[in-house]
Amino acid sequence: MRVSSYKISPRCTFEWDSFSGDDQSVICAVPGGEAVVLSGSGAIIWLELSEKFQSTDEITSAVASYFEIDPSTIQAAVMQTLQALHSHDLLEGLTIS
Amino acid sequence: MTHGMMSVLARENGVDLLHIKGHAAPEDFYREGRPSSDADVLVRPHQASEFVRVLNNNGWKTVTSFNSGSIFQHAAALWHKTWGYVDVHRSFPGFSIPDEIAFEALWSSRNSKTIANQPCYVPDRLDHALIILVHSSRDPSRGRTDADFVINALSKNLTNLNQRVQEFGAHTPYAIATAQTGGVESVKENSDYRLWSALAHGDDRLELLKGRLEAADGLLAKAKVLLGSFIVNRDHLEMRLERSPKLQDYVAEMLARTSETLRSFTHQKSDK
Repeated sequence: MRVSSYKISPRCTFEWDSFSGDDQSVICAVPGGEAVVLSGSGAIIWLELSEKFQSTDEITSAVASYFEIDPSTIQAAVMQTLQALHSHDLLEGLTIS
Repeated sequence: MTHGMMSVLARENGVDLLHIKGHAAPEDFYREGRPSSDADVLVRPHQASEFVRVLNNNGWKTVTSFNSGSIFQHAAALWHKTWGYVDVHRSFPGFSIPDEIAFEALWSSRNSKTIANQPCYVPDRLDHALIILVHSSRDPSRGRTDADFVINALSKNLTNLNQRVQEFGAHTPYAIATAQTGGVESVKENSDYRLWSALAHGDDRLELLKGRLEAADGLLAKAKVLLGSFIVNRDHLEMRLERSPKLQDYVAEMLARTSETLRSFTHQKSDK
């Protein structure tokens, strides 16, 4: 079975922060879990996530569109990030067999 | 973030919880840049102890308990290594109606505010103003500024606010917070006036004790206040010493309190 779609967990609290310049970062956590700080491309991935399930292809395309690059070049990296966020219980995943 | 965490944990454990003051308050109730480090929540009274246990199970450590936190025994302070402090209130000092009735009155007219991506229940605008004003009356450092700001924000709704003061029995702290000349005169005969006045002015331990004795209803309540004033608060002593207190610490603290009280009493007598 593999996870085909992700959405932000209803247990997840997060806040955006702006440092000097254009870089934004977001801090995410669930009660009892560790805080995760995303910046740069990680923050862009978070920006494209929502409280509705989106397929990994949809998320990858959205992020690629933001950077104006081919989705295939970032697919592996996006998948890795989504899996890491899922392992921290920040995301809920929809699995298919 | 702490407010968001509280919201998730309350929801998952069926706890009725209101987020109050600081970041939970309407944006125009505080001056820009005013710092707010703690998160304050008000929990339905009979659920408060259970909610503290929920927090303990999620990484929050109890620093002061409900009974040791303040003279009103109204809140427990908890600390999380990542998220900082949260004050869990089971009652609100200044409301003289029963705690469960006060909470239900706030809960029945609650609003919702999104904080850290979580829907957080908050008192409605008028009730939130009342909470901040009543709290400001016992904050000698920032109380005056906070009260003026809220009154200014509510300038067209003061009649309704006065009605809410009546409903919650918050006459004395409200009059002191708003420092209206007529208002203060009307509460000077109230049994709790000396207490709230002492809090507002940051008066010494003896004046605070006298205020608490006057406010206590009945001989038993007064006796409890008197006895409690000489029992050293372990949690506060530990915070001050930054280590677990030893026997000699308790003895030193007790002697210091007795000495200070006698000194204040002697000083007052010699002034007469």
